[in-house]
Amino acid sequence: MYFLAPACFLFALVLVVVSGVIRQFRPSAILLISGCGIIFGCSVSAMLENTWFVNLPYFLPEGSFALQMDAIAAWFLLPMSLLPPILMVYGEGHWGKTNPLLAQRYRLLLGFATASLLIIPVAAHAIFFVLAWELVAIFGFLLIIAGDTSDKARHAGWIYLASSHASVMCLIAAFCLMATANGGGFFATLPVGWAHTGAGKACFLLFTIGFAIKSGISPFHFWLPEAHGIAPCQVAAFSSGLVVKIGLFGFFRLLMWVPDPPLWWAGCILLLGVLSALLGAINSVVQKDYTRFLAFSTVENMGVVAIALSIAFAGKSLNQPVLMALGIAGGLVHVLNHCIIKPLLFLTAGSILRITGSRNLELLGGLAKQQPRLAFSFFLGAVCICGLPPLFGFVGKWIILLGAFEGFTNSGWIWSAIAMSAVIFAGSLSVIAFARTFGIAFLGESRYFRPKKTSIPTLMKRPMLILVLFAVAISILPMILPPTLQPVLNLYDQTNTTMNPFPFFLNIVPIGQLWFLTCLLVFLGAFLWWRVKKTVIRHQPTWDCGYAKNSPRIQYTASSFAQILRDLFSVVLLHKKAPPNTKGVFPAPSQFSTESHDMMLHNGLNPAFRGSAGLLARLRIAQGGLLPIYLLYIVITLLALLAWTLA
Amino acid sequence: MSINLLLAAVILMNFLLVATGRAVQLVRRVALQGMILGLILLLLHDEWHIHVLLMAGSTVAIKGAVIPWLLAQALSRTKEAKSPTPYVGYTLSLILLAGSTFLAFLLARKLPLQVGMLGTLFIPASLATLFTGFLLLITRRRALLQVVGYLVLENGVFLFSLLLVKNMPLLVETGVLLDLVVGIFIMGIVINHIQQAFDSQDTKRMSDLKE
Amino acid sequence: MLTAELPFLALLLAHLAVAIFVPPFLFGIIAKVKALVAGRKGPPLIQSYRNIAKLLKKQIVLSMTTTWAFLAGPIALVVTGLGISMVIPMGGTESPFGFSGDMIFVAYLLGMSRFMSVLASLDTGNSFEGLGAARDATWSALAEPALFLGMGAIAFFSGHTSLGPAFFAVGSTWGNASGPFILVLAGWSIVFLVENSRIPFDDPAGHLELAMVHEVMLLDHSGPLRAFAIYGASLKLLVTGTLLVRICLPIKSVWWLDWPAYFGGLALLALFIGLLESVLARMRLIRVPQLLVAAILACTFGFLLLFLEPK
Repeated sequence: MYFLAPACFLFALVLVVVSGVIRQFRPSAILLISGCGIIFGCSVSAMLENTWFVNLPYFLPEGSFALQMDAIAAWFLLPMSLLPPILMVYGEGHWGKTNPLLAQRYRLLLGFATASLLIIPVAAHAIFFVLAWELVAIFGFLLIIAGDTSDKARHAGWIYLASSHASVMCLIAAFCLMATANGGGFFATLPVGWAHTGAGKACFLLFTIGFAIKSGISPFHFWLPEAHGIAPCQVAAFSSGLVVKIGLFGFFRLLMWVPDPPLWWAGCILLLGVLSALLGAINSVVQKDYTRFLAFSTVENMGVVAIALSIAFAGKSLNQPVLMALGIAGGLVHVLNHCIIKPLLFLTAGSILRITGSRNLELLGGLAKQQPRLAFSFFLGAVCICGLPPLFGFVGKWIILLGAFEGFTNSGWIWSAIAMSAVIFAGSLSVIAFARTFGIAFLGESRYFRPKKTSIPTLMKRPMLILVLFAVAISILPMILPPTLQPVLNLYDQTNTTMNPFPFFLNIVPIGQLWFLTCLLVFLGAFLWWRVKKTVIRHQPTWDCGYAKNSPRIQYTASSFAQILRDLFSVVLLHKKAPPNTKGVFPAPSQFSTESHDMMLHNGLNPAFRGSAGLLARLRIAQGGLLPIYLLYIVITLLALLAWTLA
Repeated sequence: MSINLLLAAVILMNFLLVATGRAVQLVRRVALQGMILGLILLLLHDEWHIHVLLMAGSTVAIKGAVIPWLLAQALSRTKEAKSPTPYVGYTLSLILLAGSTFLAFLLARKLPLQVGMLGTLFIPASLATLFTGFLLLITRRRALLQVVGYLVLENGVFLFSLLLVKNMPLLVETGVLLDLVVGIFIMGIVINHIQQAFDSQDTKRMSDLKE
Repeated sequence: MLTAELPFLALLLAHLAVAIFVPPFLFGIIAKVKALVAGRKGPPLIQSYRNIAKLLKKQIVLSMTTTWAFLAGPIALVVTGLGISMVIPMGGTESPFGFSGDMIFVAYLLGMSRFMSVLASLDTGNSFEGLGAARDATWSALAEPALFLGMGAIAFFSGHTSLGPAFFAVGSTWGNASGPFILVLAGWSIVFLVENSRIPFDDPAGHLELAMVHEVMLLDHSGPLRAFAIYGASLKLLVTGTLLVRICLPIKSVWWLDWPAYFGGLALLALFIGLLESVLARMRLIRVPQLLVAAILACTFGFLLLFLEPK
């Protein structure tokens, strides 16, 4: 009976893989939905204290096929099993009629990528973990360049692949170090005191770099905007919604393994998180491509979760159970929030792309009148991800900020004040950024595209509707969150050998009272709305201050909206401005433009790589191409070895 | 005593080889060096059993006759009037060889020798011949002359192996000689093909072995 | 049972009454003070009430460009204001719906109202509104860390994360740690002025489009929507002013001393705003971020002083 759950899990994995291979859409969709549904069931039962561990026979000489389902794996598996069917249906709606071959290829890659992704939370041996990680990287790369064969797409794909492999390298090194402490590759709690040794410090740094690269945390975030600005939006949804979460999952596992982390670990993660949140937020405000904007928003949100993780690490170091519980809970709720909402936003962006054919925000406008439901889904997504009440995104941010407050009031960790400021500042910047994007794209009049009634296929609309329903459901009933968080907190409680036990979650976080007040406010808002709608309304064009030749193009543009922030943070953004040439009394027609690249990539890595390529190219002289020269090298080496041996 | 004389002769032959410009002359002189080596082998053994005679005889025959004949065949098929000038001029090559020989003598003092071989010039001679072989390989442009350099290299290795003559079984010696013959044979064919493909044996023009 | 609930019901009713009826009076005080300083008699103190009542009876004229976002803007302003008024303590020692962590809720409600008013401005397609929305939203966003750092200071001092008990701790030990709290007050005053678009950030009396920040966002509203917008703005003034007043006033835990003190504090605040608006002019736009950074620094230093003081 104990083996029923693992058997179901493995069977579900097989279903997912097979669903990719089958050519027709309907059987493939049914297989994927049933496979993911079984995994969802396994996760829910794991939440109800049915955790398991199996060790299966393996075909490689090293490593082992060990799977372990516990509460934290279940928490991450819940969105990972919900989203792939939704994305698959959306992809079919997008490509089914126009490009069936691409739709098939997408289903194949999505199936394989999902299967490898689902293994990562339950992997219990280091080699197995890294193998699955590598597979996800490869399939992610293939998904990103699936539809587009242009140079730009391939370039973005290479950057993604190189970054993923860098992260795998760091992880392999880190796991090797960990294996020396654990005496093997199986995941287990590390010995007390090992974290303070040199090997422990190196291991932590390698883990941090590896996981940070994968989750898009600054300063390693540069691959995210490139890849997501190019990939088809459902692929970007998969990547942003699920794949970057495994990096954060790695941090949660690290928190579980280390019994006594030094306090500077929390400071290190906090630094990365703050950098990520602020850089992501500022960059997202100035983007002209709305898919790149969503990518930078992902960077910012990953930074916020990293901040929550740093609070959890600080709690563990300082032996403060309340702090650790708040950090873990806040991080997990925000992860769930992002997992549901970012794919919703990306799918909406994909629909906009399909209608208008352009990724440029400056050319859009007035879409809310043609596609009111699309506008509403984007609006809900924006409100939720910015953490604004009344949706449940606020709950995540609220718990994280409660943790930050707890950090400096009761635990004496002053850096949590920086954590608090960063979360707040990033939050307000993201509010501006989302208001800008939503306002420019959906509100006002269309700046360039003539309005046409292009309809979105049903297969594209239904997935977005499902995600919206999820978000609204969790917002209406945020009380389902504490019972799901409690098993995870119990798990961390058990692995704490040196700490006081955790308090019951609901005692430290009064979700009920928050919910009650929010409901009151929502009802009040609905009442006022009804009252306003009942008054007589007269329609006429917008007052134009007596200007005769009005055109939609004199509306406020996205760049103008972001101008104050862009100029304020120009030191960080390093954007290029091409000012207009307006000299003289009757100046000729001229143009003003700005360009904002990701400063990490554009001003940091690209010049560094070009410089080193130039330097290393000078070493080419050594390769003469003539055989005698290589023989000369051999003679010299032999003489040197002879001299060295005899000396 | 006489072994030392012959070894000194080998060392002097090296200088002669490096200074030779024309291919035919070079092949003849390498043949001569090979015959001297066979003679050394003969004089090294105190009792001249049948297998020793066989060994020395086959060494002289192969190194002195068969291989030079193969090379001459290759030479006559690939008619080239004058070999191109080597990368390093003859005078400089001689100076380099003198330095290498000096180095070989220095190294010989450091390497341990078996009792019974002390006082012989084996190690300097073999190391000097090795360097000669390398020198020819590196500096000569014509492919055939590089093959000759390879031959000289093999001569140096042969000399070094004579140090272990008491322990070296007959089969290994035969194997080495067989390898040599087959190797030269194949190289001759390859050079012919190079000549046909590129109409020249000048290796300076074959410089694609790089990124 | 009802007698046990009576204090809670009384508090709730008091908060509701204050939130619904007091805010336009503050606008009246400000206008009267400005007029008196300028040597005029000024509008009667209840003029705002009359304006709102008149507007409520009118029609709404909507631009054809607008969608539901335009209607939602003023409504969100009112709803968030009322929400905040339920959570902050006014004259009493606690608030009717306070809970642990409601400081964060207050700040995020302000953020929600900012989000919705930006959307309402962009909805009309009028570039003046876009201009005003960009400025207003950016400056409020830059001022938010100052608000939070001040709240952090209060939370650290009192050990509570709920505004009611936190302000109670500050007010009941009035005079302790006055240095840091004066710094916090300075920072919060600037935040107050930014959130409500007062001088030196914006001139609420000016009607030149290129100089407007907040006014421009109300430009296209009419009828009940405009009433909501004006009332919502005055409600925001009330609730943000309550934060300022509460950090200054002592609490005696006696309701017939605390509530009048609170109202007196609000009136004084309105007086100060009126004087400030009569004396200062609007600041150059380039200088605004510098002033906001000064606010953040003031609150940071207040927080640090509290933290580093031996307890």
